[in-house]
Amino acid sequence: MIAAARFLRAFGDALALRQESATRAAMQRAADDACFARLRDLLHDDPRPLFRFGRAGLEYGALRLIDLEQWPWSARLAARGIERLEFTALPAPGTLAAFLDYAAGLLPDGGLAPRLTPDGLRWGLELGDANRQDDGYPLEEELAVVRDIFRGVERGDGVRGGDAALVAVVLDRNVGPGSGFTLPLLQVRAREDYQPAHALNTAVLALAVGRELELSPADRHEAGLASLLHDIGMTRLPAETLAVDRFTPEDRAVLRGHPLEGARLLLRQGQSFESAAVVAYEHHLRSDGSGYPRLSYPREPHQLSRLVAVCDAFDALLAPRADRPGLDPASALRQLERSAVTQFDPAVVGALGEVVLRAAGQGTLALTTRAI
Amino acid sequence: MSFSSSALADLLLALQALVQRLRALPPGHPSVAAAAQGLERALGPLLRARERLVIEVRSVQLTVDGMETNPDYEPLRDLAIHCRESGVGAIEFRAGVTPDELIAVIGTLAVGAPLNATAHCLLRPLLPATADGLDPWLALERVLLDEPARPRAARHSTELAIALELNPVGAGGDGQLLAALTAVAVDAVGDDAGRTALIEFLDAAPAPALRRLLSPAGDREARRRFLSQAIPVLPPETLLRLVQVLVLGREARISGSSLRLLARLTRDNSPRARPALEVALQCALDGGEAELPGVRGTGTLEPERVLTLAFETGIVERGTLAAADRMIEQRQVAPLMALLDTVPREDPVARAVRGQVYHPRTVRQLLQANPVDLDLLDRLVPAAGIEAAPALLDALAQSPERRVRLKLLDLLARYGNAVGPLAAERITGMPWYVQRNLLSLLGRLTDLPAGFTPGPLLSHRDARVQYEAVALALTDPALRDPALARALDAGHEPTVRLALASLADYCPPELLPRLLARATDAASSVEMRALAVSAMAPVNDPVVLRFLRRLVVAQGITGLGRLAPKSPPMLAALRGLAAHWSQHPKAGPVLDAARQSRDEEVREAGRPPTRRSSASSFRVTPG
Repeated sequence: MIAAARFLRAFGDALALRQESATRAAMQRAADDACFARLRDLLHDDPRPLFRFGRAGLEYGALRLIDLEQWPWSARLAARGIERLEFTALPAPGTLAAFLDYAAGLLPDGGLAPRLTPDGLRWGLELGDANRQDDGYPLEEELAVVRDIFRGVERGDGVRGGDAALVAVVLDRNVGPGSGFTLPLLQVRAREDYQPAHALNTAVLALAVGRELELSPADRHEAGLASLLHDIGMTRLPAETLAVDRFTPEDRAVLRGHPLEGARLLLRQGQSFESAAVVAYEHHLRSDGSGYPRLSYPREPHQLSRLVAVCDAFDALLAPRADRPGLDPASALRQLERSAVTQFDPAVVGALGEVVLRAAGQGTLALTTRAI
Repeated sequence: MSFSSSALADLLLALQALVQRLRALPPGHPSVAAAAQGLERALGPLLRARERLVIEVRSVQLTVDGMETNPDYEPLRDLAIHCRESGVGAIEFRAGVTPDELIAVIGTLAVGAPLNATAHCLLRPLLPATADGLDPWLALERVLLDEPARPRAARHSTELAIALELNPVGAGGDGQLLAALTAVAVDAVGDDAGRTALIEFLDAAPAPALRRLLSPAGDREARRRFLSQAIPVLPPETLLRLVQVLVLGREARISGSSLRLLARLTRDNSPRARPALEVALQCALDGGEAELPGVRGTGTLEPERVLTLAFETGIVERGTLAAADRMIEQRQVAPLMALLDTVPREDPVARAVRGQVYHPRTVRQLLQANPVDLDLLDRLVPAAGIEAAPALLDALAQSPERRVRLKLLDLLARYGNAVGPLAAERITGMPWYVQRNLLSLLGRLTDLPAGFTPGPLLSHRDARVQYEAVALALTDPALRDPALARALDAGHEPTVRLALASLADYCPPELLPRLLARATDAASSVEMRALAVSAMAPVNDPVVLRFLRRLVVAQGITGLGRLAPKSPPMLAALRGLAAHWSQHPKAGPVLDAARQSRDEEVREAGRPPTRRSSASSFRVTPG
């Protein structure tokens, strides 16, 4: 069961105990603690969970939780004036307990206006579409999925293959004809989100360039999957190495291990990840034989590796570093073009140029600058 | 005729007791036999008045003779459920049934083995829910409401969805439900009303019931069939519901964040929703066992690259071995082996890949190439082991190239006696040239396979097969003499020569007439006649002495002899006399004359051998 459903069950248990006169304080505290723990888990998965309650059932974001279709508290909460409940941060345990008291009807009715606690708990009436949360950001959920993939690997859970395949399918449609937003790219402000955002950007670029290069849908899908996972080996490097602003030569040596780590990780996932493993291993190899890792069997990088290498480098140039600001797309493109003959596949760089210039000309090159 | 409810109740309880003991006790346990006798006793009065008695299985009840068991009575309820889960629709008993039959048949029901039947006791399988031409909704109703005789569909799809929750049937019954639902989904294509009804059914069905229906523990194939039919006709909202149903326990593949993404796409009517939901459904459906859907490209990933990556990373997985397979299929065995040669023998990835490559399948692939790379074959076969012998034997039978066949014979012979049985079992019924090669192979082994005899092939119509059969038979003391007799009668010169050469060691006296015939056969070459003379010389028979003298001495008109003109038969006869008959009075003058000949070769032939065999002096007796 997903974290939201687990939280709501704990939430319902805590409410139910409040309505039983015989409930002892210790039991209620235990139920509140369980509810708080489930909420913490939920916020780990979803930083801004939003629930809507009504007679017809409940929604979590846009999802109707089918395991809670008969959840009795949905109608009761709506009747109490709580048609929506949102968490923007983990509230203090006392805040959550107070809200539970209110929701259970133990506190006086506070009217219909939405409430907001200082520590991120928001509830109130659903006021129709005008009041619907709309972040205006097209890749919010995609980023959340990629973030989960990276976190899962960090925890040692392995790669969530279904998630990765899903995002690759969705992104491919994103950059397809008539999608309306050709190149939505994320700019990263929080270091811990760099890898997921970079993975997503690289995938968006690789899929768009793949279309430009007229790759088959299946090859494009492999390109999308591989670019989402090309830096997954970073999750296996020591956190302290990644935490610094400027890398020492020793740090760089450690960083150069990520292709090998990534390839190993992906090969262990099975045959579906073979292309992704090849790309993870080869995306820092250069056409002139430079780059890393050192090959025991010298060979040209695979075409998907050459594709992802260009997109990876382009997105890296857009991102600000400690020793330089992020480049604008045109400058990044020029820099790539200068290296195209010796280091990158000129055809891929050319295709990227076409995609970027076309998007810029159409005004659809969106560098999303929201903080994440 | 109906029976008292107590008699029927006794019967059902006796049946339940037998099933229970068969499940709990080892075969042959005295309690099992006692329970079987108890059931036989219960059946006795019931089968006295009729030929047969059938206990029908409903979802949670058994019915017999119109009497239904109480669904709340747990022992019989459990028995009914167990029957359905075992795919048993009815149990039939016939007059004359014995306790042993009861144990044999009910035993299969008890342990879930394939259904058994004897002359007096049989288990009837549950019938499929959807017979040909049956309205699929009616079929669904029949299964869901457990009313097999229901005449027409009368329930709304949402009512049926509730019935799904109440239907407690196990895996076997769910298979029937899925079959009925699959038929509904097939019917829903192009039928808006049917499609709406299916959507309503799935949307109204409680999540736990749907989850049970689509459980991985159930009928996997039925589930796949249903989803493949249903997915195209269902809207994204219903697909999302199915994803939620399937994803429980599969969160390692599809996370909560993916569900939120899918929900958002669905809510926004995004064109991305359906393909994404389909991917999610397939991932959730396949669990961790199958490949991810839609992620394989057009095969642009060269297998050699996959293998080198495996060597460089030290990771071997299914794809690594599959890559080796692909290279073999693409007839890239040479580069594959060259690649393996670059990796240390102890490398674990290389070891695994070698295990895949040094395999009879690879040998077979190699042999299908044109031209066959014999050097590669030479390297591969020893590593592939005796398991590759059948492939080599197949190729030996089929290859049109002599150089390949010779190589194959050589490689097969290297297996030693282990290949003997494999070769011997293929001889019968094969074309003559295959038989010849197989016999030739057997001839290169130190021992013939147990039970094999070349005897039947001594009379093969093809002389070349005969030759190889004779060669083999000469090594077998029991077959040697008949083989020699047949060989001496043969018209095939190599076969005759083979026999004559082998007679140099020992010649059975009974072969003498054949040898005389050979030695005097004007159609034979002088070398062949000389061989025949040499072969007969040791035979202790006056006829031999006379024949040898006649070859050595030319008879004049006066009857006095002088040495005949030198020829291979004459020299052979002279050597025979010197070796085996020198002590005989009639041989001495002839040998003396030969030793005085001016011809060095004749003089040499007339001298006694430097090492006279004891056999020769033993045999010589005055004639």
